[in-house]
Amino acid sequence: MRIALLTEGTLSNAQRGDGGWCGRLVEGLPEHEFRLYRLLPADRPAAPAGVPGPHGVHELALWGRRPGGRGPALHRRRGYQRAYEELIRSLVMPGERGLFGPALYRLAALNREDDALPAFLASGHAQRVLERIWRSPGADTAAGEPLVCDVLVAADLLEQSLRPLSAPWYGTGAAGLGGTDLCHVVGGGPAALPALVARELHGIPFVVTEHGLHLREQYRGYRSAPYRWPVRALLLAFFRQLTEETYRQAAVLTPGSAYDQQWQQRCGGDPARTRVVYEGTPATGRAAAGAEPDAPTLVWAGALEPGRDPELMLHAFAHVRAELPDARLRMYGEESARGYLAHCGAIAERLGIADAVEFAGRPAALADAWESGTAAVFTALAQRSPRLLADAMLSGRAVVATEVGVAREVLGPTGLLVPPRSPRALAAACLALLGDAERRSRLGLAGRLRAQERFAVEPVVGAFREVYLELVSRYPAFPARPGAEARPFARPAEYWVAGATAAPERAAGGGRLAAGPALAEAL
Amino acid sequence: MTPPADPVRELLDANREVCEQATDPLEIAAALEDSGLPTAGTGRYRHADIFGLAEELYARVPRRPPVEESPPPVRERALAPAALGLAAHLLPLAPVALLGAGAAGGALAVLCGALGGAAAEHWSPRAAGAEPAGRPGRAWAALGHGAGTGLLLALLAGSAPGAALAVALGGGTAGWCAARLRRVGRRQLTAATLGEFRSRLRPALPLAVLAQLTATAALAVLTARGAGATGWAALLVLGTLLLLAAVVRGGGRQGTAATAVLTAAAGAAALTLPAPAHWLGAPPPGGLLAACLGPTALLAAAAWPLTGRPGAYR
Repeated sequence: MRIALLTEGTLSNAQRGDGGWCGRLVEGLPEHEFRLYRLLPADRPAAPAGVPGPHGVHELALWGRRPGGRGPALHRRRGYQRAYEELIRSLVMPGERGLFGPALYRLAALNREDDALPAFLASGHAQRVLERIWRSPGADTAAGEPLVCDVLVAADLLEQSLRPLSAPWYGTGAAGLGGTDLCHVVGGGPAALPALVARELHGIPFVVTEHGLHLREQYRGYRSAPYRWPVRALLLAFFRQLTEETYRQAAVLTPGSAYDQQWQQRCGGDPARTRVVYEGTPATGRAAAGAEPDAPTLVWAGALEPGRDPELMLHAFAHVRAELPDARLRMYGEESARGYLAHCGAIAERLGIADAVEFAGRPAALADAWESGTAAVFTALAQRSPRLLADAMLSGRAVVATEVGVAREVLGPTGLLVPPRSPRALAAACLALLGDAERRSRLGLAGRLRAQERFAVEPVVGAFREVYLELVSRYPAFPARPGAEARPFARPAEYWVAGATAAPERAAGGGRLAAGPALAEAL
Repeated sequence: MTPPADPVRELLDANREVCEQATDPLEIAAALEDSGLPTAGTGRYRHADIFGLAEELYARVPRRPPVEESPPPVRERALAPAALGLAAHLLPLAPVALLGAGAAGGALAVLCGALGGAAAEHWSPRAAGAEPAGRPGRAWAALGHGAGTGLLLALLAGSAPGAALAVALGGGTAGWCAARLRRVGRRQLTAATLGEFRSRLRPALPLAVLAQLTATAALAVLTARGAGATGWAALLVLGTLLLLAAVVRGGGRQGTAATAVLTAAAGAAALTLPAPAHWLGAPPPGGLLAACLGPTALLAAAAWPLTGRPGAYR
C-alpha cells in the first residue's frame, strides 16, 4: 500500500509526532510504501525527519515569510473573495459553521487552477473581506472590537495556517497525494489540511493520530500569545473548526489515550471510528532498575514549572521527613520558568528540608533517575502525556501520582493515586510505600508489566497494520471520479504489481503513465 | 457539613478572569485541566465531564475581553534614521569635494553612495525587526538606491556645489520625515477600520513633502545663495525625490524606489553628455531637473496609495 505520512515537523510543543514515532512506524511496516509530507517552519533549520527510507520526502514551509507569487487575475478575484468570505463567516457567525468545509475546499480548488492563494490571502482585498465580516453585526467577536492592527495580524496568521492548501501535493503526479491509497496525519492541525483536500478531491481516506491534541495545545498556547483578544478568538475559532472538520472526515481516529479521546469526542469524533493506540516507546526493552538505594529516597522528575507543581512535592516531603528522618528527595529536571529553581530552593529552605533535597538537574538517562530512588512521585496539575509516567513504570519502581489527566488510565491499579494539591494525602501515600517493601516491589512489578504490555512498539505497529488494511478494504478502489458509484474491491491486486514493474518505463516514455487511471476509468 | 448549594460558584470565583476572557467553552476546559481539576472531580460540581462544567462556566460569566490591552507601543526613534540618511547622503559628496567632479570623483561618489545605501539598509529599524532573513533582492535594491543617489549628488555637485550640499543635508531631513510618517502610520494602526485608517493618513504624505520642501529651501538659503532659478528647481525636485524614495522604501517597495532613483540618475548622466546637453539648451542643473521630474512624479504616484495601506507600516 502507498501511504502518505503528513506531519508538522516543527519543534514546538504542539508537535508530538516527530520523527521518532513515524520512524518506528515506517520501520515496523516494511511491506508498505511510505511517503513523508512535512510542514516546516520557514525561518528555522528543519530538524532531521528521522524516518528511515521513506519513498520520497516532500516539504513545505508553513510558518514565516510568504513564498513569492502573484495574486489572482482580476476576473478570478471575485471567486477567491467569495470563498474567503464564507470561510470567515463560518468562523465568526454563530449560525454558519457549516460553511467552513466547503469554503476550504473551494479555496483549494481555486488555487489549483492558478496558484494565487498565498498572494491573495496576504493582499489588501483579503484584509478588506476579513474586516467587513469581522465587524459585521451579529458576529461572535462583537465583544472585542477588532482594530486595523488586528486585521493585519489575523490575516497574516490565517495566510500561514492555510498555506498547506496551496502545496503542490494534489493531483495524481509523482508528488501527488492522489497516487496514494491513504493518508496518515500525525499531529493534527494544519497538517490535516492536505489530507482533507485529498479526501475531497480524490476520495482518499485518512487516519489521524494525535499524541497531545493540537487543539488543546492551541487553547493553552494562545492564552499567553502576544495577540489581542479578537485575534485570539478568530484563530481559535479557526483551529476549532479545522479540528472538527478533521474529526468529522477522518476515517479512523487514533488518540494516544482515552483522556484525549474524550476531547476528540467533544469535538465531533465518532466513538465508533475511534481507536486508542498508546504511544509505543522503545524503553519497554530496558531492564528493570536494580537494587534500591540504602536510604529511603523519593524521585521526582519533570520540568521545574508551576504546572508540574514541585512545591507540592516539597511540602509533602516535609511531612514525610517528620515521620522518616533519614528520607531523601531527588528532584530531576531543568527549570522552564525563569527563577523557579531558586524559588523551589527557597521553599525547601523554609521548610527545613534543604539538606535532604537534591536538585539533580537533567539526568543523563531517565532510567538512572528512577534507579536512584525507592519510589517515583508525580505531582503535576495536569498530566496530558503518558510518556513520563510509562517510563517510570517501566523501571519497576512503585509510582505515586496525582489523579489528573491520563494518570488513572496509565497507572490503573499498579500505582497510588492522590488528589492534586494535597500535601497530606501525597505524604501519606509516600510513607505507605516507603514503609512497606513488599507492597513496593509488588506494585512496581505490576506497573512494569502493565507498561510493557501497553506501551510496547509492536502493538502500535500491529494496530496500524490492521487499521490500514481495514480502511482500504472499506474504501472503493478508484473514487477519484465524482459521481461514480463506490465499488469496494474493484481494484485487482495485480494492478499495483504491474505498476511497480512499469516504473522505469514510465520514466522513459510517459506513455504508460496514465495506464493506472485509464484502467480505473474502464473499470 | 452540608455541601454548598452552588458548588460551581467557588470555581467560578477562582477562575473568573479565565472565564471572562475565554473565547470558547473548550478554552475554559483546557484551563480547568491545567489548574489541576482531578479526573473524577467534576462530579462534585454535578457534571458528568469537564466539558459540561466548562459550558456552565462559559454561560454564567459574561464575556469581558481585557480592555486595557493595547497594541504594543511604537518604539521607533526618528533621529536615528535621520542621522543614517544624512550620513548616507554626505558620504558620496566627500570624494567629489576631494577629487573634484571629474570621472574619478564621480565613480568614487557612486561607490560611496552604494556603500552608504547598503549601510543604511543594514541598520534601518525595519531590517532589524520585521524580516530578519534579508532577501538578496533587497540588498541589491539598497545598493542600487545608494549608487543612484551618489551619482545624482555628484552630478549636482559638478554644476552647483552649494546646492549639492543642501540636497545632501536634505537627505537627512528626508530620512527624518519618512521615519515620522512611519511612526504616524503605526500609531494609527489602532484605527477601527481600514477606511478610517486611510482617511487619517491622507494628509500625511502631502505634509511630509511640504516639510521636506521647506527644509531643503531653508538649507539652500544657507548653503547655495547664488543658485539660479534652474538650480533652485533642481534642488527642490531632488529633495522631493529623496523623500519619496525613502517613503516608498520604508513601505516595503525597495525595488520601486531603487528603480526610480537609478532611472533619474541615468537620465541625468546622459543629459550631461555634450550632445544631449546642447540639444536641451538649459543651464547646467537643467539636465538633472529634466531627468528627475518624471521619476519623481512616478514615485509620488506609487507612494500615495502606499501610505494609505496599513500593511506598509509593519
